[in-house]
Amino acid sequence: MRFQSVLILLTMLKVTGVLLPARAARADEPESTVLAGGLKSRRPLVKNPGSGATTPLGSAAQGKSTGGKPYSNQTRQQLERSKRSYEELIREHEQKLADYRKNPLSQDNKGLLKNQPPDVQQKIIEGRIKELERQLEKQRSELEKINEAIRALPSKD
Amino acid sequence: MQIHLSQLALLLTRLSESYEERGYDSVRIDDMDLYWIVQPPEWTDLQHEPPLCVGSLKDDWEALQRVLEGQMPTSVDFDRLAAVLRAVSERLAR
Repeated sequence: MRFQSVLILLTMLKVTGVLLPARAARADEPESTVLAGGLKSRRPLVKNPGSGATTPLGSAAQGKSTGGKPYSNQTRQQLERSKRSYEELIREHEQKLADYRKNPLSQDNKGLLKNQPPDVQQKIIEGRIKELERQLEKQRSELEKINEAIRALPSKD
Repeated sequence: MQIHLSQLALLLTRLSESYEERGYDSVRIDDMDLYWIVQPPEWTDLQHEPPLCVGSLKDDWEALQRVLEGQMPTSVDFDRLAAVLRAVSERLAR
């Protein structure tokens, strides 16, 4: 596993949506070009939700653009796509957890598990199962938010 | 304390650029894999000894690669990226 520091991190943030506000601001605002691209300013800025403008922290710009209701700014098509994606992800994750429960050593990538005394091995296996379950819970809870947003949409008819 | 997502991007850019200027290009973490995690809500409850979970850096990185390839990100990906950043930090500090 080789970590290409800048490029991969920035691409990851872009994909996860973290970088999108800064990039959008760069397209709209000459001021942001310096801040997002060259990082010339040490003054923390935040994109003003919905306006495309960048304003200093501590202003009225703080707060969620969706008014505390996640996904409420998305179209039915976007929500349905997210729903399918999460359902697929959850299915894969459930399979992964089942595989791990069946044979934990099959995923012992570096031999870190098999070389441990049995009591430590047991702790690692239990901890790994707990973590995979917690990840699943998070994904299911996110899917529920998407489903709620779909239910809150006006009827198609 | 309010965390603005756009500031996370700025911080990562600043950190990455700063280390690039110092001559770092990439960091090898492929000899690391399993790690202990204290999950919420226990991780901020200092009154009790927390139960431990186990994460996998290999697993985290593979999942993050899928995000790069177009898989929809989830909040779990923030945890994964955090774990990778921690491993990178450990290597940078050596």
